[in-house]
Amino acid sequence: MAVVMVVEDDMDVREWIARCVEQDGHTVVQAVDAPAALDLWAGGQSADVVLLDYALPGVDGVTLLDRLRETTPALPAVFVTVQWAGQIIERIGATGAERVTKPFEPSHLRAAVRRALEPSQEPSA
Amino acid sequence: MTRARLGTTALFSLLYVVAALIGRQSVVPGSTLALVWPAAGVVAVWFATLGWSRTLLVDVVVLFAVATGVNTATGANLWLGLSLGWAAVVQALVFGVLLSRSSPHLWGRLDESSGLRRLVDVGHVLTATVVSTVASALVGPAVVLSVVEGNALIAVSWVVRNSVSVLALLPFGVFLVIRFLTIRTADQHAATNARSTPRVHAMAGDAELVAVFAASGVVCWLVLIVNHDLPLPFLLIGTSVWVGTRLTTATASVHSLLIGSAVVVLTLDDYGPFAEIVAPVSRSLVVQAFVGLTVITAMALAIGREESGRLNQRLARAEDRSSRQATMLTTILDSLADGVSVLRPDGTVVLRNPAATRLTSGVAAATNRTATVAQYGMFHPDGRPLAPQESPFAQAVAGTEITAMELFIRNAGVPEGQLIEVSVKLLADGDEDLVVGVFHDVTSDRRERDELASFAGVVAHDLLNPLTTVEGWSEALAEEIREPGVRDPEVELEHLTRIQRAARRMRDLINDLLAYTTARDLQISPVRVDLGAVVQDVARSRTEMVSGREVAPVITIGELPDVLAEPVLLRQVIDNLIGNSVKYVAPGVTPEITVQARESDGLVEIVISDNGIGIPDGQHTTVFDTFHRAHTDGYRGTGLGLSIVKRVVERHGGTITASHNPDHPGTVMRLTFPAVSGH
Repeated sequence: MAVVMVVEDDMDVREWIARCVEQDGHTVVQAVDAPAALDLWAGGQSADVVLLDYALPGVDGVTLLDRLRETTPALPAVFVTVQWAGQIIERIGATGAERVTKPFEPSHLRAAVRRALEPSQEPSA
Repeated sequence: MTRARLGTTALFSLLYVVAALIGRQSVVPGSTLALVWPAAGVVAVWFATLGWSRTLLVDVVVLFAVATGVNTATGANLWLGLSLGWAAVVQALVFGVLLSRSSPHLWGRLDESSGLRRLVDVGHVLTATVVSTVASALVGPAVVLSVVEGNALIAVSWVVRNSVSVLALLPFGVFLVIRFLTIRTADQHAATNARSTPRVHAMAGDAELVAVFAASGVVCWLVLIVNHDLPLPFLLIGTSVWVGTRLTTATASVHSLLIGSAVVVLTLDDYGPFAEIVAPVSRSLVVQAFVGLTVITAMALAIGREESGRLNQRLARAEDRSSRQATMLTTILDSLADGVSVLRPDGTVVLRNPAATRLTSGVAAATNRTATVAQYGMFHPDGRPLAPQESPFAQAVAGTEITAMELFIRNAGVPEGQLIEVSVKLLADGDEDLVVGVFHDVTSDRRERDELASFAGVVAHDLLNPLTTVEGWSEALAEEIREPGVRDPEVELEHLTRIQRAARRMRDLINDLLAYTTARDLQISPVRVDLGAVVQDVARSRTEMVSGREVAPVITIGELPDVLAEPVLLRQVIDNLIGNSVKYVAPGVTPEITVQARESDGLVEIVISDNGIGIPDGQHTTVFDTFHRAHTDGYRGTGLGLSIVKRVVERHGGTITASHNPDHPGTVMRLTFPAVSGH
């Protein structure tokens, strides 16, 4: 099973995402915003996949992912966001991460997490 | 037939009889023919007045009867009388056939706008007259008399006599008929402003009218009465020229008639040089030719002058109209907010309105040539510089029509830059091609569009997040209920609390969105408002709202003056600010809020201080931005409250600032509203 970091400023949404992912047996680490996530990372916390919102207060999700990948290149990620348009979708697309649109079906989210984990798990399998 | 129609026939019949009797009085001794035959003129006017109609047959029969009767009664035998009647009918009908084709407006359509108005009408009348009199001579007694008496001049004299009679009487008769019809029309439509054709007034005044007739009388006296031997009648043509070049067509027709009558009457009485011509037929011919020439000269001059006068008037009106249109177009172009410029393909400017200069920030006005892409500072909307061949002007010259191309222009005139929508087209204008460009400033449109898209995005985000919570935790709750075994009410209550919280957030956001719209759009009618009462009311309501576990705020209210404001919006502002002070406090801290005010320079400054968690450094200005939230974890908010407050304050002409509370942690909000005393 994998360690999943969930970065989402809305507590109820964050805990709902965590609950969905935990049902697949993953361990979930939660962070309320980018500084909290970076603090965890700096404190030695790692994760196999990061689920993050784009519209985080202060530092947006794409910038946070870039920062995390500075220390963990090719860190798998899934953006859990509302339907945005234009440049934001392009920015998310450029990260190579999949996007799950809020409100989401739990099965869709879990499938996205599985797909995100597959490439990194195959070599070790 | 109507009574009026019968009256017309009767009137012309009577005139015919009178004219025929006068004609019969002008028989030259030694001749069978009368010198003048005004009855021919009366018939021409009669039938021209009526035109072709089903009832014209009645007039034909009446003409035949009257002509036969009057000739028989004045000495002709029955067969001659009948043939003269027949000849009169033939002349009238042939005249009608010809004139109704060549000048239809003179045949049965006489009104103020018709009549003899064009020079070509004189030619048409002359042709119709001569051909119809020739026809009547050929089928009537004139030819018979010529053969019997062995004198061909009799038939010629018939033709000339009848022609001159028509030519002399028709213009005057038509003038009289039109005047009569005009007076009747004016009587019938006195209340309405009937269509009036422009009149060309005579160049001369009444004095000249009197002078020309007096001079004509004197010349007649000298030429025809005093003088017997010298061939001076041509002097009379001089008076006709005078009338024709200076007076109206109607006056010319009267003058011609009078001159012709004088010549005929005096010649009959053996006065003047024409009486010296011994042969009666020759004398008749010469007199007729003279009268005919006089009439044609006067009428041709008068009608020609009036026609050219009307053309000049029309030309002047057209010039005036086009001049006014040009002025109007220039005014419209100058007042347009959109820029319009017209260039030749070589880049020289044909036309450029002030907006075109303004939108290109003055660069365009520097020369009478279009500037280069670099001089204009043209960029694509994404910031890439425009290549010279990409300029809308260059593309249009190359044949590509540019429609709504967006350009970013930044130069010394607009250092901040502006977004312009350009449409350019190549137009072929006669000999040369022209490039027409229209510029429209879309800077604010695009900014508003982007802001709206951003606004919609944030609203979607802030509604979809709680919706995710509602959907997700409802499902979790359902799972708990469906799960076999012992149910845990605490867990279920927790799920329900999350759902309720999300629903409240959605409700708050929707309420704030409505308040935001109200703050933006509500018509403001400031009235005197008791600020103290409003603050007291809000404080009471905020204190009463405190539920069991929360701590009631302590609100200290100083002396507050009245302000000028929209009461609903003022209360919204105070409630929002005090609400923030109550909400944003550290856990366990009793909110302490002070509301004070002071008045200066026509404004009331309201100061609201609290002991809350304060606004982080660097956010004291951005905290008023739409959807900005200084505290996101643990404190619920829509990010709209302070932007609503700022909008309301500014719409009242005031300002609002946020700063640290110098006394202890917390915030001081300072906002101004118009004072009552200052207005």
